[in-house]
Amino acid sequence: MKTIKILFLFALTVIGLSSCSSKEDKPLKIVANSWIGYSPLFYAKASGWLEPLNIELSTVVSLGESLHIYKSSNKDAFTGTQYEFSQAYQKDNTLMPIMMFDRSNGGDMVMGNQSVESLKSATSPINVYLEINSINYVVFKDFIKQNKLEDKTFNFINKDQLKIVSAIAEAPNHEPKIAVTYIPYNYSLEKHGFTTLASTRDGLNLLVLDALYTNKESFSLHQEQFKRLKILIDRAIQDLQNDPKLFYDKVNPYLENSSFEEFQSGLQDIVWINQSLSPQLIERLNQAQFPIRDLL
Amino acid sequence: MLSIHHFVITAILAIITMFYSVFFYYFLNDQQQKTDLIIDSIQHDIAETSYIISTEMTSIRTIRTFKSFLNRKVAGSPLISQMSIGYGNKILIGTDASINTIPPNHSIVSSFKNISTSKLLKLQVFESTIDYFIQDQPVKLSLFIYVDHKYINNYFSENQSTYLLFFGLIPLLGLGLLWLILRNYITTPLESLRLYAYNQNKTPKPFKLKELEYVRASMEQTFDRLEHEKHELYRLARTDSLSGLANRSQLNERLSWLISEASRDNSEFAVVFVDLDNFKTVNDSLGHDIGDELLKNVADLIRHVLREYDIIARVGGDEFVIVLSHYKSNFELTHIIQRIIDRISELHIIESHPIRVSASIGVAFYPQDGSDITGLMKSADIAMYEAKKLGKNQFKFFTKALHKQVLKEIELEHSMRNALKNDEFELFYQPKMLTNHEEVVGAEALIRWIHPTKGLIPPNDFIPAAEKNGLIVELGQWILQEVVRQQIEWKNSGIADIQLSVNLSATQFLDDHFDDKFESILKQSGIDPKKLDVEITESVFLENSQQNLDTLNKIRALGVSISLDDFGTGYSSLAYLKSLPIDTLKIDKSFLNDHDTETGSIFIETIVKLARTLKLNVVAEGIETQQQIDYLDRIGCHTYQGYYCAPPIPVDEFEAFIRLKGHKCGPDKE
Repeated sequence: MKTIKILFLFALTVIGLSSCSSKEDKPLKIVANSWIGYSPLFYAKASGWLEPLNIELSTVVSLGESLHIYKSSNKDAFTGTQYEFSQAYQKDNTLMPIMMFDRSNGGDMVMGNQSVESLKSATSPINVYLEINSINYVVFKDFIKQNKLEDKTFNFINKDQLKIVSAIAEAPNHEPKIAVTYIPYNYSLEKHGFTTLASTRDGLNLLVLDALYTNKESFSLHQEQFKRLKILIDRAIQDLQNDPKLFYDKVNPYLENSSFEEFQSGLQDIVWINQSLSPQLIERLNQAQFPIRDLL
Repeated sequence: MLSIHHFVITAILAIITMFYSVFFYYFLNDQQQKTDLIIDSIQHDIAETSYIISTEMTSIRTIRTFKSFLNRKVAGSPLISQMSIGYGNKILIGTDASINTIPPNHSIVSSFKNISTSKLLKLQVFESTIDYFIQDQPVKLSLFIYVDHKYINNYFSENQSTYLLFFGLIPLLGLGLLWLILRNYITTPLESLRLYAYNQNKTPKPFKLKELEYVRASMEQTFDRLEHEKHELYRLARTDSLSGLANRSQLNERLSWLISEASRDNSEFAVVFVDLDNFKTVNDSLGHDIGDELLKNVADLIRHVLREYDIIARVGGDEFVIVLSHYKSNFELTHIIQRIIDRISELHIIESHPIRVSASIGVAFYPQDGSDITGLMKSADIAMYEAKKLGKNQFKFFTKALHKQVLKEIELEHSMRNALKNDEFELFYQPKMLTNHEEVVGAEALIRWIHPTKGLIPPNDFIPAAEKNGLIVELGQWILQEVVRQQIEWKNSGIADIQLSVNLSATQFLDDHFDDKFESILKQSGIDPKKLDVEITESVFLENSQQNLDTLNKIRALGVSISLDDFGTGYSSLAYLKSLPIDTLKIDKSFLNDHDTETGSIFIETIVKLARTLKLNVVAEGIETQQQIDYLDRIGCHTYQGYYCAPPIPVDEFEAFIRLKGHKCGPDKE
């Protein structure tokens, strides 16, 4: 009898040890693109807050890539605007926003090497650099509408934001060019003589929200991790407000090495909506059929 | 109940079932994990290819530029055999020229979820869309990936083989080996131990496991010891420990067998009962150790005289039973028996003590003297007692006359017991007289049996029988009580306050509580102990002399006098006179009959002088003439009893006799 007890205890110990040593909680895999609005995520990663929660954060260049990686690499959540959400929702109707970051208030913009007036007078097709399968296209369509450029011929060049910068740098400067971009890529374009023609603050009648999305299965699997991540995001934004420089130093590598001034300038182009949503915003979101009931 | 063999098999089967259940679960899980990895890899390749094409392709016309890209993808992934890109129902490019049509729908899988291993092995083509835009208009291109079935099948096949080898075959062999080891080292040894414990017929060979070997060796040792002890007990149960001869149990067993044999064969055999004469004397005088050695000697010599197959048993202290069969004639039989008697009669030297004993032997024959053990033994015993009665150191055959005598004795004993119960016994009193005064100085109580049909039965006809069957103890007690009562009655009635004598038999002394009973009777009655005299014979001292002497001393210490009866007829050892607490010597009648001869008178006068010297009273018995009285008076013996004065007479006559005190005894007394 004693031997059986010892064997039983031994088996329990082995099972216990093996489960403790090799089996951790499944990591929560998040993919996010370089966007100042997602800088609290980068801050949390740089501060080493994510590791204890077993959260893995991957960063990509563009919005489209973020969505693509989410779909192809079995990630649990991705960042994006409501446009990427609607794209992904078509294939997975359990998808839902669970964490709001910011509303673009100038962060998304249409830039050009010529003024709107020059563009209006252009006779040849105008090259438009954008990520066509992203919010860029929506932003551009609104730009066309707001500036009554529907009669113009556009040549759409579909590239991610880094390639857009490279392509513009290589393209002849005299051709009229439009780039649909967002912070921090606008800073590079400005260096190539691009100016902002319209942005979500000025010249566009468009609501662009940035959020973290996941599907029902992942949410139920990582519910606790998401909840704790939400706390960390709020804390990161609080840190940002307390000490922007320290915050900047940590997130700079994730934001294409923009300067602190650029970073601070960029912050003016977004409004944090992580804590609460205004009634007006809620109404607009409802009209746009953007689900907010599962927000943390 | 489960045997150890079945238990081990059950346990191993349970282990196999459990192990293979876990193994099978693990195997399926591992297969699924591998499948998931493969699917992930393919999905990743598809997504990557799709994304690159969607972002890099400037126009559909330039799609051919991606052929080398696709080829690299196929070459770099062992899971993919071919890739192609379709648009509508046309294949735009493919890694294999033979692929020029869109694969049929039934062979295409678009979802990467919930794909099992078996489904993977059947799958042919994965399809994914390439999100391509012509300007701002989305165009759906299809990317087809053809799974390399051969590789995947081989991969799972090898994996399966490896699993089967390491988790299927090797553990199975291991368990088989374990079973063999358990069987050879535990179950078979335990089974043989069980059989050994049950049958004890075949000792198992030494085992290799220490504990089992200890058990086996211990069992072997125990069984050997038990076997030895069993034989020893059997031998002891059937053997007399002193002589080494068969005991009564073995005798009965062998006699039973012999009776059955003889009954079938109509043959006869003889049962010889041997009893050593006076063996008790040897024990008493030389001690029990010498007695035991003597018995061993006798047993040895009987064994030497007889043949191997004759049965010799010791059935009591000095009693042996011999069963003789296969003798040619009674002559041969008597010759054997005589030789036994002769050998026993020879001088035995036991621890330097020369001892001479004899044997009385009774012989009974099967079937005429007894058809069973009890009958035969009884008959041989009767014959042996007859031999003893006839002078010992001889043998007697059981006869019908003997049988009748025994029956007569049994009947007599029965009658005596009834007589005692029915008050058929009566005490007669013979007066003891003074020679010169003719005064009654005492009386000797003598028992008489007044049988309702046979009339007066003389004591010689029943006293020996009573001594033999032990009734004398009860009878003696009755006599003593009666005598005491009579003495007190006569005293109280004023008839006489004389001393009454009562005879005590040697047999009465064998009763361990005799002295207590004696004292109790005296104290309860209130008799003056001086008015009681006990008469004993020398035979009282032949056996248990010390114990009897102690009893006599106790009696005398009560104040009761002791007379030695029939003095001169026995050993008449002076040593007795020195050691015995005697008050009176009674000269036997046989001496008085010869008083008028020179030799006879010498004996009488010597006894009288001896008594006088030892300051003992002397009483002459059997006086029948005045001449004898005169003679006694002349030599100094002044007390007598006998027919001259009065025979033993009933109480009323004795009382009348007393009343005539002063009446002269003799022929003219009337």
